[in-house]
Amino acid sequence: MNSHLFTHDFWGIWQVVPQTLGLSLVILLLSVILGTLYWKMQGSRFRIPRLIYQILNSYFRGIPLLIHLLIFYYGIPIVVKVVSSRFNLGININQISSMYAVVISYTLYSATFLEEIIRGSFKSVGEDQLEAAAALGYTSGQSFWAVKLPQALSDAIPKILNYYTLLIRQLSLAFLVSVVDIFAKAKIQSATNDGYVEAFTAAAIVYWIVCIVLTLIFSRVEDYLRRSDRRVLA
Amino acid sequence: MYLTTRLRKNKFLILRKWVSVIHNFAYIIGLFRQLLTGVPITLMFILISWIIGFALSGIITLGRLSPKKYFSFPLNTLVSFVRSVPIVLQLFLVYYGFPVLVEKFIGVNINNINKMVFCVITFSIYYGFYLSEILRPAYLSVKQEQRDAAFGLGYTKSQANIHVIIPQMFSVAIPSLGNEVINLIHQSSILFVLGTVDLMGQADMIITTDYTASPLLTYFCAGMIYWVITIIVSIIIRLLEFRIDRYQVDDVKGGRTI
Repeated sequence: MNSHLFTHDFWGIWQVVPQTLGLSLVILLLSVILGTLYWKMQGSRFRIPRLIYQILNSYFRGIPLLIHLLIFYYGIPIVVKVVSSRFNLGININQISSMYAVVISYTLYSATFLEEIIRGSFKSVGEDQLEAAAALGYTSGQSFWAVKLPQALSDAIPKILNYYTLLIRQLSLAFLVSVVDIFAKAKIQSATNDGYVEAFTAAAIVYWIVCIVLTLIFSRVEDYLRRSDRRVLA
Repeated sequence: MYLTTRLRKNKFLILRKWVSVIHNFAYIIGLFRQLLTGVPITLMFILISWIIGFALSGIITLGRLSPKKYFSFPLNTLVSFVRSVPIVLQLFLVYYGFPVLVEKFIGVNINNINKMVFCVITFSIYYGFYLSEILRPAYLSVKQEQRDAAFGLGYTKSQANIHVIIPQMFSVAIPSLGNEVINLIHQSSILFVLGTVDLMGQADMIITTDYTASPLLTYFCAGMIYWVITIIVSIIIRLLEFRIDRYQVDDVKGGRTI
């Protein structure tokens, strides 16, 4: 173990931490939106949206994320080529960034899991809360915005933030399509200076620090959200 | 004259289209046949790492539950480490770091060992720590009354654990454990980065050796196989859940909670 190499790799890896966090955040926000849409489809009165949801859910959960990523990486240029030649858009398919493949595949994959979180947190709001709101003369819209949504969010946000740390870890697969995150940076560093153990140890410690810091912040957020929860007295 | 040539041409085109369809179909069958040669290795890998990982997680859970600080603190730290580092990175860390460690402390060169061994070591350690995060809450979820009742019937501590606590603990843990099995199947697809010959490794090999192969089609076919495996495993898990919950008594009787 070369300590000089280790410190060099360690500080080098910190340069890519902001972009890793940013990319994960973009994916998380997009998949929260898509997850809400899935939730609406899942609870729909009509059969076709429910059927589409079930097929998408089974497909994205049944196949590893890695394969989704590679399918989108090779599939997007083909689709763009067909669309571009059909409408004469003149897009050069060699210039399509592999970032699109990462964002689209990760969003579609995480949306199915976020749908589960969103569904669970809306279910966790008791019927008695809505009855109380109705007794106070709230209209259904008012009781949704003032009673149901805040309670569901205070249940969902800690879980969504927890998913965010998972997403940062899952983003390590993006090295396969040459998107640079923490792991990919470690791989590049190790290839240039031939210190495999040093680079990967440094990356592992960076991941550990990032996860511990995020977990501490998120538990603060959770405490803040739960501040109005009534304690159950025995 | 013109019409007949066009007709002939048309017929020829239709024929060619059918030939190409049959050709493509045969090609896809061949693709599946080659991909399926990797399936036994994937399944074997999953089984071995699950068994070792599960056994390890039992020991780790035991250590984490112990009231002694010098047992539980290092284990909790390691759990935090293993949970916050991606599995790919752990795989590389073991692959490059383990031979160095072994050479330094035991003096044996294990560079030429089968790559699958490193994969099994990584996944066993990962799941050993990861599953203890499921087993520990499940153990703690069994109520104190159950233990008291067992002691009241004259059970010793180990008898109470084996006959009373652990069976109840599994009915809590099985759904999460099932999710983790599926997770393991999906995460095993990353092994091909080390050049193994499992399902995903076969797909990678087809693409790198055959220049004409379409990566999209190959990965999609590999994905289909993973999908089928996932569906079969989740059916097995659901059957297991039914079997384990067969002694579960509903808390509600006659519409009244007791």
